[in-house]
Amino acid sequence: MWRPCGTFDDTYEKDISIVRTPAQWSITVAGLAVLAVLPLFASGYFMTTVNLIAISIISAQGLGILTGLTGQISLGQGAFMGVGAYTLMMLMNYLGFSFWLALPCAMVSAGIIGLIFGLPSLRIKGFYLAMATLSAQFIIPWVITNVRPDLTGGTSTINIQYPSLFGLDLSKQSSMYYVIIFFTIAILYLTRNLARSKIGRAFVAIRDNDLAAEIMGLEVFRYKLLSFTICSMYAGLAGSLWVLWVGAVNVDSFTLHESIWFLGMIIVGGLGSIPGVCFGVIFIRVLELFVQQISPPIAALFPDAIGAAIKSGLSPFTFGLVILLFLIYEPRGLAHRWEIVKHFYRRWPFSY
Amino acid sequence: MGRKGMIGILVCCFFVLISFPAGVLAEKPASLSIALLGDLTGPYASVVGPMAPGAEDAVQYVNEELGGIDGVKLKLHVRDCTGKAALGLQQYAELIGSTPKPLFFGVPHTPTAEALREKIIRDDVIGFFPGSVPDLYPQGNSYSFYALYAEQSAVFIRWLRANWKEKRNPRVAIITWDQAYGRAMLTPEFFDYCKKMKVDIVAQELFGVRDLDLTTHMVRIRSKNPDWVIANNTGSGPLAILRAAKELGMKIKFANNVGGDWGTIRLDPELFEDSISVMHMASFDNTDHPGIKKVFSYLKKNKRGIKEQTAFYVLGWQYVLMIHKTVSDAVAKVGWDKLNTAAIKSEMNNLTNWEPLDGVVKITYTDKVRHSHWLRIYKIKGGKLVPPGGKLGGSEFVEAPDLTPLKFR
Amino acid sequence: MLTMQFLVTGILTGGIYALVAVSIVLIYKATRIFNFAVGEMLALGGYFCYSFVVWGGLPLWISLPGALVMAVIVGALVERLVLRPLLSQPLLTIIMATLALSVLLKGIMLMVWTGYDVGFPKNLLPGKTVLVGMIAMSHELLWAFGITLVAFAGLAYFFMKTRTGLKMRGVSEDHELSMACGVNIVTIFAVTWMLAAVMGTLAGFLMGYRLALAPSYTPLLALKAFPAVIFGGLESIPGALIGGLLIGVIEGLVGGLIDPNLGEVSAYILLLLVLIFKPEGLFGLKRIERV
Repeated sequence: MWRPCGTFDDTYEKDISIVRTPAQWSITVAGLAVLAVLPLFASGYFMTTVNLIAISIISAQGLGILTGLTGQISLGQGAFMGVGAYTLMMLMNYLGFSFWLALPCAMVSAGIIGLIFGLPSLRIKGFYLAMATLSAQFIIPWVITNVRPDLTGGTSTINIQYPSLFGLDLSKQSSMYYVIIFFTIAILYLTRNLARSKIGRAFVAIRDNDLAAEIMGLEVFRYKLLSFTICSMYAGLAGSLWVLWVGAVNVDSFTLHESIWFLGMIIVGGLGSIPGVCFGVIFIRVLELFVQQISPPIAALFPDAIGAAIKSGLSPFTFGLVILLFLIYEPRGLAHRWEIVKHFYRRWPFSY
Repeated sequence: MGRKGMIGILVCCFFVLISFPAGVLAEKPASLSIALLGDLTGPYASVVGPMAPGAEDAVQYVNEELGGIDGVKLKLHVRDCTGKAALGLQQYAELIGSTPKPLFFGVPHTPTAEALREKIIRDDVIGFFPGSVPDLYPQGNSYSFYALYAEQSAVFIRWLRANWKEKRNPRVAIITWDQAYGRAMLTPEFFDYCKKMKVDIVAQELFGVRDLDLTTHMVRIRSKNPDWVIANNTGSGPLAILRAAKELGMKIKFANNVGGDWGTIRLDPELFEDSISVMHMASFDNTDHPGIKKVFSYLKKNKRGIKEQTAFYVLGWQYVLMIHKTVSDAVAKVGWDKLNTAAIKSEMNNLTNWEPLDGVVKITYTDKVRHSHWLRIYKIKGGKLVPPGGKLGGSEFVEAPDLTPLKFR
Repeated sequence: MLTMQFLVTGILTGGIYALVAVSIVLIYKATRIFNFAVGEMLALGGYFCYSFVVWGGLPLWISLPGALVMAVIVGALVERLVLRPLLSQPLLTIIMATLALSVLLKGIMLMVWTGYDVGFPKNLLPGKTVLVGMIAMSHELLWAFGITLVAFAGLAYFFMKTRTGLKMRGVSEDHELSMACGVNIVTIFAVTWMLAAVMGTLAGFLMGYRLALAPSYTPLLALKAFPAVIFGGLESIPGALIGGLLIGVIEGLVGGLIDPNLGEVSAYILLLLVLIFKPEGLFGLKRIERV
């Protein structure tokens, strides 16, 4: 673990703590305080976006463990979110579970399904494995729409009853925010600890060289499956919170497009870095909104025909272009840039 | 840039982001906000896309020719959710948080509309949604563009039965897209209605948007030997169906709902010859119609292309004119200071046989029925939509059979 | 009889999938990059052909080669502007770049050709449906199949007989060794992208001619080709052809005999099984790393 010079760990507690220096403590406390009071100031629009980002961070952290730490590519994260979402909806609507009871069940069911689709990792890796998980993205929505449409609603949307917590009605974005952000922080903490535990080190060993890992006595296949399970449990949690966020569940929300972009978020953020994944999610989600906002005013500057063309095409064009340029100039992701900025501040004014 | 500068910028960004103020409707507002939030460039674009220019042109018409609503100009906010309900939800949150908040939301995208159904009730605004049952019922704040998709098909079934000469029952096969819009016609009420009308549904096939060959599906349909094939499709869907039928040499006739409008037919007019389309509006090809003339004058004025000349362009008009009518009436009754959603809703529910633009469309909503029953049936002749003739096949609006699910009546 | 019809239709449709599949395989074989933009590139090719035919009023025998030339230019531009700056970067970053490229190309298509469906004029390809007994074979699909076979024959000739083709095979075996032998592998990458764009354009034209073109659903054709690629093996060009046909047949037979709704998903279920039991695909090289 790296730290600024002059900081020494003189006890074991200090050595294993996540928040180390007084500066980190103050930043953490201030950050949590800002997060706690945010809904009092922010608009519904802002809260809606924050909630979506927080949910996406949970799902992306799961993929971060699988792809960033363990080195397995998955293109089924969206589908696993769908498993969680539909499990939650069906438990709540048909078996009368409360949201809080259905949530862990949804995580477990998503974890099991993820485990099944992780089985091919026994024999394959790389892009062949990505294709195996891609099949999840086709098989799971097919099951949702066709097997029991009377329960899942087929292709149409099913609403859920908004849960409440200690008398607090969670139907508003500003109130459900506390639930979502609680889980997000918990997941970040969990991931951080997982990454530096025995399991996390095993994951990294498998990513770096699976043969060497096996020779050192790791049960590679077991750890790979564990990684798949954790990844899809995160997805299940994210899917359940997604249901809370929308207030309804529809199979259209968990498309291949979403799954591929989860992969995109962690790559833009920087593989294997926890803050990197968060940056990646925020970057892509905000960019998504931003490009939608800029195209009408820019289109208004042009005459009719060109303006109409710009209005329809500028958003995806800008989105693609920004990410492309970003990748070309910062191929190692936002996490790398973040390190550079941190170093700049530590050494300021003695830059090099 | 120094450290202080960067921190300053970050702090500024933070405050800009969190300071979206909320507000209330003023006594006589400077303008009235309305919103259109739909899939304008995504999978449904070729159908839904023209609704945005349609609404823009209609707003221009209301503001310039009708002088707004009692002098208050309409202001249209268009958002493109590119076919993603999540983005639609964010854009909804953005619009509902703006001042003044839009009183109406036109949402031509079924999944987004379904997700917004409960939210517009809570936020006390009015939604203008597609014609599938989960969008509209139980009765809330949402109103449909046109009749339920099942009712559109039912109008065709009734016409078919009325003009059926043979002794045996007509045999009809259904083939439609395997997604929310395509499946919206497959309600139990529709099948009951077919049974009641003694029309046999002999086959039911679903296909995916990216299936480029439907020979398999059509061979299965051929083995059931139907007289007609009906669909609730648009764009490439009907094209794939008819092309497969033609290749197999099937002598089969095809009927479609509002999806079978000009945008679809223009892809291959010959192929659609003699097909039936059930529409909610007067035909663009009836150029003597005064309302259609008005619409054409705006199409020309704003240099719209041929691709904008579709049913959803007119829906944009219908949306804005409906707002003009109901808000004007509500203001006349209660005044601007007491104008609220309840007052507008009561005007909406009293729209009876309302025919804007000399009857380009015809609308009836009631407290119980939130979709209009008035439809027209057309046959495609030489790429034009003309009345098919026969019983119930005139050039007038016909009232569709009521297929609202029983529990919502 | 019906089974035969499903089989024949499946094979004919499979030809189009094979074209898309080979476009993916070519790039993967040479550069180890999985091209997520393949759908958008094929749609773009289809639009080029459409523009020559409809806007330019040119006959097909000029338009299609014209579109192929445009495709070559696009392939070269993509390689030059996107892939070359990313040479020697992590593989996932490059894959991500193709993903960003797909969104960018979609934006370009929306700007130039709008989001509305467009269709080719009919009777570009002469002929009419061929009936063998009760089995109908649409002339469009027959043409598509013919074009596929010609394209594959061309590829085979290219790889067997021409110098560039031989170099490409060398590069796909080993980058460093090829460089040591004096092969300019950057040029080879560019040629690979051009070839892939050409194959995609053919598929895009056939898809557009068969149905219609739209930036939203034409690229989805690529999803049909993904299982085909894996069936054949990511590194095998004949595998791409056979994989494509196989997917077409599975879709046709399962869809026709059981439920059309099962057609697409059955291909993916089979894909999963193949990956578990025969991970290198039917024709892939055994040397792919296994665990």
